[in-house]
Amino acid sequence: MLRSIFFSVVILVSAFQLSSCKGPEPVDPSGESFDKEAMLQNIGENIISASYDAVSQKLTEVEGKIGEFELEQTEAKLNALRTSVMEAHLLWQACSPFEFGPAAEQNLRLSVNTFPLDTARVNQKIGQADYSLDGTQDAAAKGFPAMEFLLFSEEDSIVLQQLQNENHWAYFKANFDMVQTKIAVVNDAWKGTYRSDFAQNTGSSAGSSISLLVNQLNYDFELLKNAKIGIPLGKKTLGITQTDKIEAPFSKQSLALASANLVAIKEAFTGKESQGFDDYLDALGAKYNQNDLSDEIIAGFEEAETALNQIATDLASAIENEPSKVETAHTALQNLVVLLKVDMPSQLGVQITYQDNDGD
Amino acid sequence: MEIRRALHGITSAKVSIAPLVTFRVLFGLIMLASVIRFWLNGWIETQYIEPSFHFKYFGFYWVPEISATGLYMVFAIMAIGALGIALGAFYRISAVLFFLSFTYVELLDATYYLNHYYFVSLVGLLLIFLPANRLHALDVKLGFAKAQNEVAAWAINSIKFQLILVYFLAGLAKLNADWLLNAMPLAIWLPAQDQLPIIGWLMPYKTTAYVFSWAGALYDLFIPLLLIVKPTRWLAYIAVIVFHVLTYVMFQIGMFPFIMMGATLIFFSAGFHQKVHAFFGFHQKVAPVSYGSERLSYPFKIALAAFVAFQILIPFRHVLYPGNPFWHEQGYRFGWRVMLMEKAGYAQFKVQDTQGNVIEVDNRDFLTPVQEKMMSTQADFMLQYADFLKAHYAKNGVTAAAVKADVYVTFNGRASRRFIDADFDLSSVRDGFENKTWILPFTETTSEI
Repeated sequence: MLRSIFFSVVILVSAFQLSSCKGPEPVDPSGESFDKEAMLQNIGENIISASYDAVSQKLTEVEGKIGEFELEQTEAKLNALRTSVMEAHLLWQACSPFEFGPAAEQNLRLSVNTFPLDTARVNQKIGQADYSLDGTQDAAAKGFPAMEFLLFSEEDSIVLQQLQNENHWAYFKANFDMVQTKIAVVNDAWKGTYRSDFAQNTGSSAGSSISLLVNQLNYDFELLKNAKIGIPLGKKTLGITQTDKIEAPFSKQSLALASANLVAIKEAFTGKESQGFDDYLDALGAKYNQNDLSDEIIAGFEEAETALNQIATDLASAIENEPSKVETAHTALQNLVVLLKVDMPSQLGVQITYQDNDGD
Repeated sequence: MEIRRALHGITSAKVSIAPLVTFRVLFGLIMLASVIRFWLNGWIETQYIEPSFHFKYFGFYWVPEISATGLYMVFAIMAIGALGIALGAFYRISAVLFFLSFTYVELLDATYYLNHYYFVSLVGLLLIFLPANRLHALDVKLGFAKAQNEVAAWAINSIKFQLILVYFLAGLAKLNADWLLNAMPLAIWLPAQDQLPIIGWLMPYKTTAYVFSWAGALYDLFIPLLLIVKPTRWLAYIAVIVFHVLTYVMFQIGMFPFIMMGATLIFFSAGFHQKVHAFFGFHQKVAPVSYGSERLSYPFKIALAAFVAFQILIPFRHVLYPGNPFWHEQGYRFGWRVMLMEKAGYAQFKVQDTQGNVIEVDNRDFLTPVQEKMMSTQADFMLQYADFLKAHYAKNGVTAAAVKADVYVTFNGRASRRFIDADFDLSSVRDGFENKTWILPFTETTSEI
């Protein structure tokens, strides 16, 4: 008697085990499989690779402007150079969220866009004709912020004068070369085999493409919230504003850069015209209370975009004169962090760390 | 009288030592592999040396930290201890070294708590007292221990008891509405596995999640019984292999599947183990099992009973706290609740000075990603972190009048919601066993049946 009970339990359990292997034809409509590879292909090609390509092309244009400026050091040529560098910096914002794979190997984000700039260090290096950029002390003395400083920190006539100084110009060019070279390496990698490797790595464990993307989108988003907006607003300093810590203080482009960064992260989420995380979440049936989580996140992006656009003046003036608007933008970003960092990864079942995990 | 005889049978009666020997060897080898894997993954560095701050277990704040070199030495000792256990060499010393070094490392940072680490600590402790080196061991060969073919039954049954507990309580914990009625969290975890070979295509279906949930619960509840009873033992062990290989392939669960696949062999008969030993060339001749019994001293019996009672009661301590233990996680650890929920959180800490000005803390300044992830859902870590922040800012000239936090947690796919009272000063209380009333209640019912 006892024995037959045990046997029936065994059969029951193994039937369950078996049915999980072979199983009858599925009937549940929610089981529609989402084509993750198509999503990764789209994001890899039309967003990530396209972004590196755009900034690379812009840097080639900058190279031309540099050549022209070397031939003819006029205000007009200076302004043309300034505009193209600024545009390249804006285009960089769309690459910033993808610090993994080739970009991580180049330590790209820190190399090309660490701010606030250590201007004292820059001046010191220029004085000493030291154009190396690899030292640990130079971590905050290079990249776009250094170029921006050399092009915008003084009024036109003085900048013009400074750039004719050999050391100034050499330091500018050393920074440009470094930025161009590193971005070219990454751009080439994405045009090569990395793009298909990226698209095919469809798992959900740490190191999978989805995990890398979710992780780095969040990392960059928090940088946007904290470094670009929060710290200047005094969030880390008892409310004492730190307008000298904004990104691009000399060209006063901080807000445009922040908006470009936000749009880039949003587009990585939506996949632009094609498949993105919003479609993936929809395929999984991810809800946020009664709404679709994807709609909730897109609404969060739009709210943050609107809030940033509401700030009329440049960021430093806005922090001094209309802090409530900057505060609103910061709050909108903060609300979105929760959705991006908590709800989204949780619904995707994605692992963000390599450590062993038993789910508690 | 019957109870007495049964107790005698499972404690002092002499049985073959063979299953215990297999267990000793496998446990030692798997632990050695674990230590090497941990070391090669660079986790000693990233988990214990790089972080500037460590979360501790309540009651173990005093555990001293150690230099990097010292820590590597501790891991080396752990490896030597594990090898010593496997070989049965300087067995008792090896077991003591292994238990102490392993447990010390676990106590260094509660961030990395895993149920199977706790299991390893407990088994390590037990092994110190088990005469597992009395057969097929270097100690016997070297003359440090006298070979014997028998052992008091409690030695083997104490290990079996731990295994039964792990499975059965993991099964009990699955008897909740989320697991059984909503197939959560598997309905989230499985679709992410659709690239698996052979079975990947099944993963997106909700039905699959239900089948896995129910099968998993039944497996955990019944596998101990099916392993104990002889007619079903082989089938049960096949189920053990299928189950743990599946979990190994699907989840980043580490060495747990291997530990369980190795450990559950202890349920097999002495004859089976003797054949296995012979297969590997171990035919050591010793006196046959006498089927007598060992006189257990009164204090020993009390100690054994206390250990068993402790092991049974500790996992249920969460019933002393109101609300849903999956949400507040009070009394959650050390309860064999494995892979039971999908949880993620975000914690924005705010350090308020005496004038009411606020510093918003960027967790990345102080915590590693894993630490941040773990802290964001576990209330006791929040208290420790608040204390750390208060001390940190005090050093930097800011006197914190209060440390508060906006914490949002998502649990099994529900929209993230506030986890703790945003106005509560986390630096105003110490951790303790009393209920943390500042954790906001979870309103839906997901309690264990």
